[in-house]
Amino acid sequence: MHKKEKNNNTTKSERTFSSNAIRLSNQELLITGIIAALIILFVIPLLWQAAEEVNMDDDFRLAYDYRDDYWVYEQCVEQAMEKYPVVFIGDSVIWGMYVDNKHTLPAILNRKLNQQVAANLAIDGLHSVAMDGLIRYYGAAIKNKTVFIYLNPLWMNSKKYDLSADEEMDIHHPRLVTQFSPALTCYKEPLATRMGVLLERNLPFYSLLNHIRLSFFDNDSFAQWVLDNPYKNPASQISLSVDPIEKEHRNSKQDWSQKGITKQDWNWVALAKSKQWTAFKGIVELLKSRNNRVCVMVGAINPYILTDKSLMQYDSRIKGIVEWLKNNKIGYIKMPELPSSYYADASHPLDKGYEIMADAILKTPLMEEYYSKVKTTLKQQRKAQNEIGQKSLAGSSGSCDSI
Amino acid sequence: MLFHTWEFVIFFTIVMGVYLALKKTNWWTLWLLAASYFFYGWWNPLFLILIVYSTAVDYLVGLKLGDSKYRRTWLTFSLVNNIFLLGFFKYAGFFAENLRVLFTIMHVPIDVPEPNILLPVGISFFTFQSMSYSIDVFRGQLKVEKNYVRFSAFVALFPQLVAGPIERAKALLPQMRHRPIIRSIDVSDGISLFLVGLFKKAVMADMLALYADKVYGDPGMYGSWALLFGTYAFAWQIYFDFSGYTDMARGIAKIMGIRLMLNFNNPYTAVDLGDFWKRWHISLSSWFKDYVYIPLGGNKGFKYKVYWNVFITMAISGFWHGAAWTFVIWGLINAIGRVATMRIDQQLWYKKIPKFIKQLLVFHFICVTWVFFRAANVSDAMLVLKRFFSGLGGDPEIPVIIFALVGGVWVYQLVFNSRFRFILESWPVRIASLVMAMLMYIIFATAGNKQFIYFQF
Repeated sequence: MHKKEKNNNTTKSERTFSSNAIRLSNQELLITGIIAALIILFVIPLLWQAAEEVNMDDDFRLAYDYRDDYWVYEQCVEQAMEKYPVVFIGDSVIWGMYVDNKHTLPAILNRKLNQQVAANLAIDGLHSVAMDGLIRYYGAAIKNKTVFIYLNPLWMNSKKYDLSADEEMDIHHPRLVTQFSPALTCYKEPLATRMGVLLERNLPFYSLLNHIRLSFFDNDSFAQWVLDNPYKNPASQISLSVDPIEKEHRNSKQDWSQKGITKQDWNWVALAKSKQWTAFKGIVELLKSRNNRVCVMVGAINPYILTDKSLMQYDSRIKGIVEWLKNNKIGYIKMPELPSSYYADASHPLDKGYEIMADAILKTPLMEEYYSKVKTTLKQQRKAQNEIGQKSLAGSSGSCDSI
Repeated sequence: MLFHTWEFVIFFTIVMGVYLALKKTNWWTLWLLAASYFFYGWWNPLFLILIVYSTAVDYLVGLKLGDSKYRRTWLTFSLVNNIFLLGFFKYAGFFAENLRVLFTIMHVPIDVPEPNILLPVGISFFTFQSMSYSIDVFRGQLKVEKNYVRFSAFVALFPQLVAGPIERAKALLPQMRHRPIIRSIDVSDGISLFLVGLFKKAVMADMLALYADKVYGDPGMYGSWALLFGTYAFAWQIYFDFSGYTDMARGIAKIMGIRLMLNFNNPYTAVDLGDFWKRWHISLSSWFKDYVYIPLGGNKGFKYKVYWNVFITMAISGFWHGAAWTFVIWGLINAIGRVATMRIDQQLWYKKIPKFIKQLLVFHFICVTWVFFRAANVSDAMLVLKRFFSGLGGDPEIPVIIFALVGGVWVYQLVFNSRFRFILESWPVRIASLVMAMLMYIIFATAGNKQFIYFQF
């Protein structure tokens, strides 16, 4: 019956190891792993960082097209930390969605102070959950500084923006949000994507690859770029000098009513359930743990755009936020309510609005040491301000005394 | 669950941890079976019903083959059952579609319904593996396996379950009859194999796929140069894809102390078609040789009978690959080519042709057959072939870097098969090759993990 049951090592194909010579012993694999790790962890990222020039504008406002390039953001932060004592962190309101480089909040402050004091480290679309990731992984250099951090309540105006919804949706800065815990039910990326994000955050080599892809390969994968540009040399695309300076002229004069925006009836998320608010509290704690003096700018959204019911809900949320800040002895400033015509949309001010916001910030004790030098000059300027501006300034409240 | 995914990394880490803990007990085969069923059920838990059924039938048939008077009847039952499973799940749609066309032509008023059957992943592989057991037991080349768990683990062994290599029962079952011995060299060999397979699949195959898919996605849009290079790209894509998978499968099995056979041996260095089929998908070619070609008569008998045996074997092999006319034609062209060149290596004039020219001739013949393998339908394939000779060149827009990568691999294979192999075998070259492969994987691996081509079979 069992005439000739053969052992398993009988045929040539079973004896042959492989059709190539890449057969390594354990020691050789160890050497390979060490070489690869050295290249990936140290050699390439450090050499690249040393060789690459990141040319920033005066206030470090990162160009809109670089908003997803966290490698450049990290370099930008490191440069800013060497030059500026004050940094502003926030979303497009601080970044300056409807204004050019000269009319952002930090740029106006620097102008009013007659010196380069404040760096604009805001990024468009940076909601609090993403901001937590940005500061935690790419903003580690922000320490021992005065930090003005902007809380835009707009991110809590619905379950969708608060990231509390269950259905999948597009998220701003998905590579900055929590990948596993705390879980975001609306973020349904596959495991491979989530693990890729973790690698990018923790291994600079991956962050660098992403930077190269974004900056030099039209945001395509290398393979796709090669296919789309068959005869181009990929190496010639790469440059060791980047200019992430916003060049596009953004200076809209149209206010929200001219754009035909109608009244909004938002159903605000309760603070206790808000993921954005929870994340924001975490960021404040993180910044404080890095020995920063923190002042929260509690953003005033455009109140004229809200229905009465929605405005009441909004006011109660702001009250809750301020209460928490007071209870935890965290400095804050409630941003002044602007005249209706100074809002470009639901939350973004126009250039005149930023002037008013800047004046409010200059009043805070944290800016005192810089402001006192130019106070006299400012007094003269104030006299020239129109009546509406004066009235609005009176609406701002809070202080950074407790810092 | 693809080998080059994080899901697999987690799965394998857990499986291997428990496997190591159990390898000195009798529970290891049960754990291997549980892991294999979990792996297979990851695609679709319903697939498990099919593999459990197929396994149970062949297990019982095996027992009957051991002591029954009706051994031939039981073998026939096993073969019919497996072929029926394969035919029903894989070919029902094809037959229904062709019946519909036939009835329409003959004006027969019968409406053949669309079967809409989900094709279980890897069915062609595990049914063939299971059949090899029944045949080997019938032939007396293998002991009856009385342990059901062990037999089930042999059929469902997860590293090679969905795309081979199609292991023979007589090679794999004996390994599972004793507790696994994992030596240090098994681990290093396994890791080496896995990493090379990963590079082949995620860098080479997936990159070539971008060009091949583009051209074959709408061949009417491209001139002869693009179609020619698209065909070359596919030829290498399918090689890297399939051989990459089997490298990874062999590596994983090796780490677990299980040896699987070599499935590809630099097929594009073959000097004739017979040589090619000894190097391409070796486990399938040898399966057909042992269980179809030799039972048909093999090399015995008069010349035309041998040709007929070769022709039939190659044609069936073609149909095994897929339920479409393109695969049938692919098999037939290979069959004709194989028969026509059967004695070519004995011809004096052929012997005088330089080896490199022979390799180029074989490669180009195989490329012509790949046209049918890759094209969406026969008319697309015919269009591609016509365009090859139309002279309407056009700009192929093939990335230079693809040329460089494929050229590099080809040169590597040629050197590997030459007297200069020692250069590739020196430790600095081996280490540098692997470091390069890993870096290229990180840089070039496309964002999404592409399915392996042979999963569809």
